[in-house]
Amino acid sequence: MDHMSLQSTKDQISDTIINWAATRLDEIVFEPKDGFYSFNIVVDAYEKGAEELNKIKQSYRDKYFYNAKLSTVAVKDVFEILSSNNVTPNKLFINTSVDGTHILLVLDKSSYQGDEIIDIIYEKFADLQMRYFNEEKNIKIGLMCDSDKLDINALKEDGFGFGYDFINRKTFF
Amino acid sequence: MDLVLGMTLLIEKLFFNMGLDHGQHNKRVCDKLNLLTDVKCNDWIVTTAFYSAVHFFDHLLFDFKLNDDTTFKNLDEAHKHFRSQSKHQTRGILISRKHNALYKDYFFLQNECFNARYKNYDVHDNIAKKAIAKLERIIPICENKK
Repeated sequence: MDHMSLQSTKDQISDTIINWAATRLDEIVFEPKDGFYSFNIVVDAYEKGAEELNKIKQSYRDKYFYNAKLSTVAVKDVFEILSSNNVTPNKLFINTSVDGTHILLVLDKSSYQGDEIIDIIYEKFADLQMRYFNEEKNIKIGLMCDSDKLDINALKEDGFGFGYDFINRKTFF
Repeated sequence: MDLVLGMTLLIEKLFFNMGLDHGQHNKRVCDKLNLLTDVKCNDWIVTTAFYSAVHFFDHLLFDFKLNDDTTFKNLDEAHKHFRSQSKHQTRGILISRKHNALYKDYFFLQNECFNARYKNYDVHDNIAKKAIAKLERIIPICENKK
């Protein structure tokens, strides 16, 4: 994928992520983590009573959507790192919740063959991760080598509700 | 009084070295796995490398002085302050502040360890090799804690 294609893909992906987040059902937005609802949801509901529940729900939807939008920020930033090193991702997975967002890029095996490229990308990803923390953006980024043994179910189980295949240009879920 | 002081110093020394001991234990396991020829276990090499590094880093980091008013004795205290997505991420924040050059090695090890499960533990040979190299870079710096 050339630089121009990567740019337009990045823009399309951002729109796709936003549309996907906007259509998440309440059950997913409020989904309990590890079998337990977020402590804050429980405390808020108890303290404010049933009539305030809709306002609480809306504030959690807003938080969820805000974190989904942060995903598009991260997608833009990681794509810039990759394109400046002539690397294109094979796949992208996103795990967004009210607590934050996690972006996972899947790179082709060829990126991992030599030493230099993957070392540079990892260094830049590490710098970006620290920058997000210092800017108080609750974004976690990661990358991994593509594999014939990619386990989509494991990703889904761990909360990655959005997945995109750049080669076949389709969403996973 | 001498006995009490002696016992206190002994206990402090034991705790001081526990992180190093655990780190070295995990390193030995990592080294053994790397020598295996009849079975490939790059996933376990990366995992033991990460969990070895974790203990070496915890030895390096604590007590962590954030400022004149705040010192963290352990990761739990640090995590309550920073409230990042996970304690592993909090550790990463402390590493970047104490010894920034090592943060990218920690980031690499954590990332490859945690993401192995999404590929049915199919970890590239080059990644396992890098994991060991990064651990060997981390250890002497953490052991020589100032």
